[in-house]
Amino acid sequence: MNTFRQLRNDLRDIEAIADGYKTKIGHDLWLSDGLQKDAVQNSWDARIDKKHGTDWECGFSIIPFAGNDALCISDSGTTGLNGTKFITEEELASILIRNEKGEDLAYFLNSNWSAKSAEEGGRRGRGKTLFLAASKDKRIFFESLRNKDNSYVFGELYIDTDKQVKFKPFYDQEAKDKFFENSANKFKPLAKYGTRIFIINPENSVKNTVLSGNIIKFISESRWETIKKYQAKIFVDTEEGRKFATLPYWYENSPKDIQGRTYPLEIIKENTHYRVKQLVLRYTQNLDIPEAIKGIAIQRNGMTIQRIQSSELVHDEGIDDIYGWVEMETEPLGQEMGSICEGPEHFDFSWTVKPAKYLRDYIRLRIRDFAKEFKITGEQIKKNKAQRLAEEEAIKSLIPLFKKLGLTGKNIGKKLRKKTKRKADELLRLSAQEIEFPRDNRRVNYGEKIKGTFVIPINEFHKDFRVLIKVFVVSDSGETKVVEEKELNLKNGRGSRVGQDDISVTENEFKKGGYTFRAKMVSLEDTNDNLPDGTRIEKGTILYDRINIKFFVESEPTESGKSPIRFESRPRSDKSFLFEWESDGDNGYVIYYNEIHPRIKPLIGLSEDGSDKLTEYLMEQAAIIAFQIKLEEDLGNNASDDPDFNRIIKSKNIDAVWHIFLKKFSEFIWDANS
Amino acid sequence: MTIKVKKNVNGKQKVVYKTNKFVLTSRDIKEADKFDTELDLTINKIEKVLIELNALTKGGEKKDPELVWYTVGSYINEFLRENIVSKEDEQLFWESLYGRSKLLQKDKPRGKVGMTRNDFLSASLMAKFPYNLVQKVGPWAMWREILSYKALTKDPRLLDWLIEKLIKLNLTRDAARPLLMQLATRFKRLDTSVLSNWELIQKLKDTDLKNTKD
Repeated sequence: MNTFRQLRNDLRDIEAIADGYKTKIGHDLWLSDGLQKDAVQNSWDARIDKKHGTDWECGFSIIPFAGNDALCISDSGTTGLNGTKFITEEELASILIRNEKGEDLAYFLNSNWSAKSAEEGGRRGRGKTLFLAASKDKRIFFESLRNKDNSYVFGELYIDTDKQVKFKPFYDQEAKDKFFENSANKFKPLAKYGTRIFIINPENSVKNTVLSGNIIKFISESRWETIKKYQAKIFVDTEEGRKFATLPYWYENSPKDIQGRTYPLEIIKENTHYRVKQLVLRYTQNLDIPEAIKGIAIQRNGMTIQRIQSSELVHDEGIDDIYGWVEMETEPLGQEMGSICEGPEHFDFSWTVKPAKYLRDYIRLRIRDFAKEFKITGEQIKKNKAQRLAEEEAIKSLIPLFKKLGLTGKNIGKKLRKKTKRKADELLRLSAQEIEFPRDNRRVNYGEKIKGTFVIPINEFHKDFRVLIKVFVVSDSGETKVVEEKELNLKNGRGSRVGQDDISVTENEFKKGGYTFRAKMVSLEDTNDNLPDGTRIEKGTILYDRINIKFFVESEPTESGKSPIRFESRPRSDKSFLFEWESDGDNGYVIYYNEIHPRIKPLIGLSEDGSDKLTEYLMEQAAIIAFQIKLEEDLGNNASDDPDFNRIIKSKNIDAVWHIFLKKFSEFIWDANS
Repeated sequence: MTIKVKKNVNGKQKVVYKTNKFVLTSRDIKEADKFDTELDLTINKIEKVLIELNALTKGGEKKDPELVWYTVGSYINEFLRENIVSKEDEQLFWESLYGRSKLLQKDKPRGKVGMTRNDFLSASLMAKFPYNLVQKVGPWAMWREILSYKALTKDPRLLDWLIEKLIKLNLTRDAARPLLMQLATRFKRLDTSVLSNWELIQKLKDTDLKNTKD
């Protein structure tokens, strides 16, 4: 039986990749923008002088070629398409499979293959596919003069009638002959090291942006760092002559009327090695920042991948007047951002994935510092007492939910706490498995009972022991209440209960506050037996004292650490703003609420009753937000400890999100109101 | 409760309200501020009294360390009778005493001071004994050593026995160390409350106290 190679419809693949660019770029001239970004990036990565980019040049022109108009993307000061001059398909396959550096020609001609390093731009082999997408005829030619062997290559890449991408490379003299043939002897082959790509019959939008020079805007906005640092020359031959991409005023050193601050090399997240080379934030009150420059440019390898809007990071008025850029250290941040978080089109990052999440949180914190330093945001409105109390009470009521969701403030909670293994069972021990509190969070109100307030002694030695078992409750202020003390002869196996069936919590017996249910077993006889750690069992030896169960009378759990959220009120006459939230770095999250929103305004500044209503409202809305925060955090980890959320993440079924939120919300509100 | 702590962050002194509570409220901050002011006043009072007693110079030199710490302990015990500190905030309280007086301690310790090594807590425990007895046992360094062993301070009968023994043996701190260590190891896992006086004394006597038998 013969083995067949699967035949793909390459035209469909090209369309799909082009669609990806269209969606990510999101403006009408997406094809020109995507094309310039990939072309310049590939060319810059191929520069001969890696350190200074000396003699590097790249340009865009419309010229006649192969009987049609063609977009010519040319570069010089680059290495050219080095690598094996393959003749057969088998030879080509073995080059690609070896995945070695220096085989630029083979990688250029084949899709989804690339051997670029971490610091280089396109590593997914997609950019060249866009060249085909930009050609109405789905046909491109290329020529290259290579610096490694000084040889000349010419070729054609096209979609054939069978929908397959095919190519024909020619080498040396044959290549030159073919070039003259296609250029109708109007042009000469390359005389300097470099490459030229001819996109035959380019799409009208592409042709027009080159001839009008509009493409320069896209080049300047994405390659400004290369232009600034290396005086890189990128030209466009327009109808009005040759024009060069220039550095936008906004990125010049110390531009007039613009204030700024540079945050130098620093770690963006504690206990990691992710560092930024620098973050530059700038602010202008008098100038109108163009839409394309607004936001913080995320730079990787000298190229702007994406701009994140300041107002998306910090929800405050005036924040939009802040712009800037961040440069990442190549290793490990730049490398991981590129390989894990960056979209294949090099136009965006997945911000929920680490380390992108860390970078976004870092930029957010710095924007906030910057806004404070330059007094950009409005003064915080003073809250009235009832409002403050309502926020505090709402947070208290949310604590069980935060605990359940594992949402934590700084340096607390299960995510950061070192997990310790439960100690092995001891031969002589106590068990308090049946203790049961009225609520999950162990709050007990007056009139309620704690059930199962007893311990069961267990003896796994093959002899009896005379022991004293003390069951008691200790208050946080140190007062001890004995539940029961019992001397018994503990036989092998489980002994009888010591303690009470339940404890009634009354105002006379318990003050408001924290308590610990404790128990210990002490030997009442001298023996010659030893405990597993070698301690001899004698009268007074503490045989077991590991029962420590905390509960709270008429108060909410006083867990250590900080709340993972805090509330901030903002008066804004923006109908779309009722609640917003943002990360507060390691401190958790800030939830903003619009205090002049008609739904909230009546609840503020009222009597004590009013504060109760505000408490209830804030609590309910924050619960929903907490679910979203939890889901976002878990998306970053691509897994969740909550089975419902884990199902959503694994199935990627967004239809289920709201149902799960409502279910969890209902459970929480049920408990809170019962 | 909440304790106000002054912390050095990147060379700048910052105020941090430390609490074991999940949520720090404005009321907590108000109470912590009040508590902090009272405590500062007490420390100022102690400094003044010690200078008057010539136990401490204005430059912070301790002429009589034992008297200095005994006085500190006595005043703190008095302060704690009027200002209740809950069990779970005790550690925060003892830690927060550092850095309040330049005369008692020129420099604030860089790292954390464990509870068994906290001078103020040791002073508080020492000040529960009459001053003439304190003097007989030995200098401040000896007391710090004794009180650093938890096992020796949990049962007053044990501590009384030890004090009596140390007075009798008249040992220096270094010479007393083996005795203290042996006793601490012996009683670490014992709940002495179930022992009668006689049983406790027997166990104390049975402990192999090398080189220290009277």
